[in-house]
Amino acid sequence: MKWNDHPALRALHQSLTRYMAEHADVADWQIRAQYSEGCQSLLLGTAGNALSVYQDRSVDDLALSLTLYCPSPDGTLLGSSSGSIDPRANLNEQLALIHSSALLAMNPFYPLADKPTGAYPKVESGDARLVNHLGQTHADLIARIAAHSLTLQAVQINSAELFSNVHHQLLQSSNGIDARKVSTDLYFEVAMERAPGPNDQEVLKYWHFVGLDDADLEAKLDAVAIETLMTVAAELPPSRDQATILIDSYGISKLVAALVNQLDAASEFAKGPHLLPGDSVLTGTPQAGTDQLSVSVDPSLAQMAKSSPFTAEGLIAQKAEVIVNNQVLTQLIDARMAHYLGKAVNGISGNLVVNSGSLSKAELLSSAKEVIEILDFSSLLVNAATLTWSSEIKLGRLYRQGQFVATLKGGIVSGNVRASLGGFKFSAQRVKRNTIGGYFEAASGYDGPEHMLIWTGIQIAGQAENF
Amino acid sequence: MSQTPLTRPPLPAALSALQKTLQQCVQVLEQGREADFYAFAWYEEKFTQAVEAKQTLTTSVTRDSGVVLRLMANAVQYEVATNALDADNLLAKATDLRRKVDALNPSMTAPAYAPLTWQQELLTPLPDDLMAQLPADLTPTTAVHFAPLCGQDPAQVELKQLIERAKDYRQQALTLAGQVQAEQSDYQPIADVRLMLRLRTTTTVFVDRSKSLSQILPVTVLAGAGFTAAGQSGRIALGGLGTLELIQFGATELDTLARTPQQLSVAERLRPGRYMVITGPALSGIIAHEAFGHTQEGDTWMKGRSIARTLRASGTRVGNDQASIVNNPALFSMEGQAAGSNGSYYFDNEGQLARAQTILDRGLLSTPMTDLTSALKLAVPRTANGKRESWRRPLMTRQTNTYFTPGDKSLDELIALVPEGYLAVAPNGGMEDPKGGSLTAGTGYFEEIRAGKLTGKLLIGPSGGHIELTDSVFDMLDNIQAKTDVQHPGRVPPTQLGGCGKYHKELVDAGVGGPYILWRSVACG
Repeated sequence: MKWNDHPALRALHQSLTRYMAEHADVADWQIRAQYSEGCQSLLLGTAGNALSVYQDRSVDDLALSLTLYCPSPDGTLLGSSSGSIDPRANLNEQLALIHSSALLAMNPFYPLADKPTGAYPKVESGDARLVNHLGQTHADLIARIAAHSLTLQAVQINSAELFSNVHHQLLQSSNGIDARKVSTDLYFEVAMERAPGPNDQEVLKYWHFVGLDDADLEAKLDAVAIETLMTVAAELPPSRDQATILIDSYGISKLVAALVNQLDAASEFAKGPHLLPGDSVLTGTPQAGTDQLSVSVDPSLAQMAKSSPFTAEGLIAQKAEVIVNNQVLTQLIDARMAHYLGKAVNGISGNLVVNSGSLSKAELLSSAKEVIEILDFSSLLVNAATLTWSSEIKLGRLYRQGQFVATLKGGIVSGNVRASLGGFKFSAQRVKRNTIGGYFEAASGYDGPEHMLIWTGIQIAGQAENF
Repeated sequence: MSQTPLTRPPLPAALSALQKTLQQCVQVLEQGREADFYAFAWYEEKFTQAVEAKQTLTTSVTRDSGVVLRLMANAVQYEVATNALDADNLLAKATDLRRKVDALNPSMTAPAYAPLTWQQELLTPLPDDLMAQLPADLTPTTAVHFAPLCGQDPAQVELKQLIERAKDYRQQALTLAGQVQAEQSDYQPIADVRLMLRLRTTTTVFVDRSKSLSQILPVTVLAGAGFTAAGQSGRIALGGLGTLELIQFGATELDTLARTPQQLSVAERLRPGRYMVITGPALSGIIAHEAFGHTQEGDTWMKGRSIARTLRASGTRVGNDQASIVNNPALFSMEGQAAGSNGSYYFDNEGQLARAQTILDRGLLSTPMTDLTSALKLAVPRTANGKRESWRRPLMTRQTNTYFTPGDKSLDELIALVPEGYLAVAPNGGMEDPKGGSLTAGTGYFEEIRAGKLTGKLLIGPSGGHIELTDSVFDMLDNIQAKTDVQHPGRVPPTQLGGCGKYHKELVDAGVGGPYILWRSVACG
């Protein structure tokens, strides 16, 4: 895939040059282009865990979009609008539509990000094996899943999905930005239940990987099988006004991502809840024995979902510590927000790197009289504004004095991220977790502790003993 | 306001040529092996004009289009999807796909599928709005086009109209918010009001050996939130299948944006527990969608991931006599609105024509909603529920518009039945467990009811956020005490705009609705 020779991109540049020569009020432009190829397989489980593909898809997708910028004559306002570009349709008419839309959407002026003075760093945002051999690599992965599934005992695989993708991305602007990267991703999900059935419980798990080295599919299948075998008769959790819970990296990454979102300067500009340098990230007084939170943002980690040499504006993506020992060190400030808020642009973006604790999972479980381990949330929704969260417990385990007591299902667990940071401990074990992103989940990369014990600000509505 | 004559948008002329190319592709895919293979071609175009008004104004105009070529052999659906739409490329893709499927399927082990002819199709009644648009002479190549009645031709709606409305509505909300703050200084003031207006016109073309179909589906949406600096918010969502006539901003919407967030800033927190709750139409719809909506999706049955298959086989009652749920893609009017919702269409993504289906009838389950694969695998009737997020994504069994059937009470009568409980009218998502038979549905806040009357007091969740309602589906559906009536001649309750994920991905439009429903006891936290 060579953008330099791409006919659609070349035609767009030619039309844009002609159009701007005729329309002096169009001062700047930005082009985004992405060419993606994908393989998608949906699999159905059959007796003995022989998987069969029932949907087999290949996708190719060229997406071009253009933003035009039109400053007002007095320079105080900037009109802008974005639109997709259809290479088959009349380009001049499409430019005119975006231009007219830009003139209708005037905002306070801000300058576009400057072209970086240095070169973009090299960042491993994809896996060359997927880039160069997508179809064969996908077929090999399907074969691995199918082969390992046959080895699983006492479980029934109901279904599985595997998507493999390659994306060639380009960002160009009128002030000379020309940023390119190739990224890859894999999506793997599997749903299992105990065998023989019938059952009224199954375990559904999914993972995003950027490269093949992290795609330990056999280990994932084994782990799901082990969890599935634990789905014996489950009961409602006990109701608690102050519960102690243990969550895994899925939950931790969601809570920390929501918190760090409030460090984005755009949150300050929007006048919604936000955090400023010097602010404490917790509400209330820290409890005895609690850990403290430290978070770095790092765009340079190999094969992670938010690894990129450049930001959305084309700045060189920067690594930084943003929270140290519960205190905000710096915001994430892009060029537009820097201008609006009168702050210095810093281009901080990337994956979240969270500090570890000192205890093992077993030690965390035995460190409180009663711990509810949440294995699966039905739907963990973190409110980005209030930083409150809640979910039904899809599957959990009750421990007392570190000993397993019961499997749990149902009830509602809720909490507040900032309140929870007053009493928590991270595990010593670390994991990496990627979310490629979509409508339901923002893209995120997480490198941090595998488990988190929280004993402040958690409520559970479950068994009616308190009602 | 003067009445504008309603018109049905025609298929753009440029797409007629594409229809012919797609017919050629189907021929390439099937030729010589019609007894073995079944093929179709699907074109999808989404033209979207959107405005977001907050402290800044953002606009976008996008057109996303693509083609899916499908070849079914031995019960496997092989597909190629592309947005390189020139005829030569599409025919080359069809040729490559045919070559691949030939190589993988030299002989047949599963019976081939033969699509219904028009003559066979019309043996089962179609909804009036579809029948009204069928031409007299129906052959496999007759171009059959469907579109809803619209106040404007969606192609003539300009971004400028959306911008003007967004700015005007936002200003109205901010003005009222200032008035509320002046009257109630203990409230935390509104930090901002954000509004999004969007007109998305989806045009689809379907071609197989039996039919040549097209439809235009304009969906207009006004969504937004007012919020305080601490994040308490009030949210609205208006619109449906049609143009700007569907997003009239009224006193209720203004209050939700400007007053509710301020009221919530001083609201008490709910103590987790079991309560009597009345759910408003949107929340009733979410419960319908999550309760036996997902559980009645054919591919979920097919994979052994739903409890509904066993329950139907055993004739088990899963709710009381008030527990009736309908899935209806052919919803083109409803209580309070002479237009459909965003889950409405004339045919699904596999060319199956839309008909309503009662998926739960007074506590008893029907056969599931299906796509082609699950209908064949389960040997149950096909329904028009084959949908995909876009041409880029795989097809699955998905809901269209899902709603509880109405009852016989007024809302005042329902409230009078509640000695101590809550009214919940602000939906906030939901989730299902089709295997485990549990559901959760969220609401932004509760309105308190005491001794059969609303007290005016609002409550938020135990942690200061939204409130979750959860229970086993069986308990939930057995706890319906009463429902409100509707005046709509087709007995279709209010059905609001909705979006739906399959577990945690694959977003599709899906309307949700129902009457106000009184639940005897629901776990809330």
